[in-house]
Amino acid sequence: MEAKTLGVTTPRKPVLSVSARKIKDNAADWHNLILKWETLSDAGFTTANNIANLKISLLSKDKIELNSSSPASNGNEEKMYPQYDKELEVLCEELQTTLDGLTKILVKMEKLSSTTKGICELENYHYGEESARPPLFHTWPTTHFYEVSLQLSDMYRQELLLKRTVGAELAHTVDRDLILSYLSMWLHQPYVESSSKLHLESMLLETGHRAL
Amino acid sequence: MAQDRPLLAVQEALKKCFPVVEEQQGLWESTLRDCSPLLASLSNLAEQLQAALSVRFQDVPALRAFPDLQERLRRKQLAAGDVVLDKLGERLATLLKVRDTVSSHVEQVFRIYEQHADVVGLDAVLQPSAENPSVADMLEWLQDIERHYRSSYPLHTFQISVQRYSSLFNFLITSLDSLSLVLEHGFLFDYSLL
Repeated sequence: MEAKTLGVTTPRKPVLSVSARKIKDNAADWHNLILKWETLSDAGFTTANNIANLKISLLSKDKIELNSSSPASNGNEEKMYPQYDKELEVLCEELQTTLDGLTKILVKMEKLSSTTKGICELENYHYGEESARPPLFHTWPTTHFYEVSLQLSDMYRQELLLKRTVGAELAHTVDRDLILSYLSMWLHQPYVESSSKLHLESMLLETGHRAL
Repeated sequence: MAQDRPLLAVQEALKKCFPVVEEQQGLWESTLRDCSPLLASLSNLAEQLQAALSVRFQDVPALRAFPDLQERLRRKQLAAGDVVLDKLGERLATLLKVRDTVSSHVEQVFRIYEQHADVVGLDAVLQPSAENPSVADMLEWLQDIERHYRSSYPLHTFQISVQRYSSLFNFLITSLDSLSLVLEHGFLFDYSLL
């Protein structure tokens, strides 16, 4: 009898405990990646802010030139102020480096979603589509980890897309309100919804990283 | 000696009141200091809101890939403003509490004085000693201090600043629920929350 029970459970148990450990590690990775994203995003904001200030000061210089009826002033401020041109280039490169860093973080986030999907598929393989399966931790079915991972990586993918657009456009914008709006977009991360915090904290709670 | 007792009671009440006023003044100053960066943040957010409001995102080719961006950004900006307004609301509550604490202590001193006024007599009230200013002078100072908090310029400026930003936020989110706070003197200001 004992041998029979062992025969049934032995192949499954190691697979499930490995899956649980992997999911728990993934949850911790999510936490760390989001922290890194925030740090990098803050650094990028400082750079973007410097670019915006430089652009706005150039715009006001242009305005003054226009008011004093200078014919040379036609919005081509870089040609008129070569020192700003150099400074702007350095800042743009800095912002690009930040965007590269954010891209690397996103790749890791997407990998987390894909490994979670793999775990779900492994479970399906072991349990089949229909049979009842115990949750790996407290209440969440394994597929829920995948759904949450997918939602989070979707948010950050869209946010990165927006940040890349801001990075590409900021230094070429001549409208002050649009410059401020780009800055505001970078700062407030409109595609990272407030629910992301709840998702992350729930995942940390479910996997035991946070105490109840 | 027994005749001096009522005067001593008034002087004792005055002695207890001044340290309270000093402590409350410290709290008042530190709270006002805390408000400056918050007001700067709010002013900055208001500028961002206005900037985003005056740009038609759909007319910017680079932003066409983000059809819901304007609404999402506005929601985030308002949520950030909400956090700052909450913090300012807490500071304002502290300032009002300082004003009320000072008022209640001053009122208590005057109550004690009024209880003993007839017995103490006007001459004793007006008479300074080698150690103390006259009771009349000290009562007048307390009245001045209380009036200072009641008609305080920083408090009113602060209320007006919060009101101005709140109005702006209100204007931008008229459809959202609002929270109103009624202050004394029938002064009403709203700040809207998401």
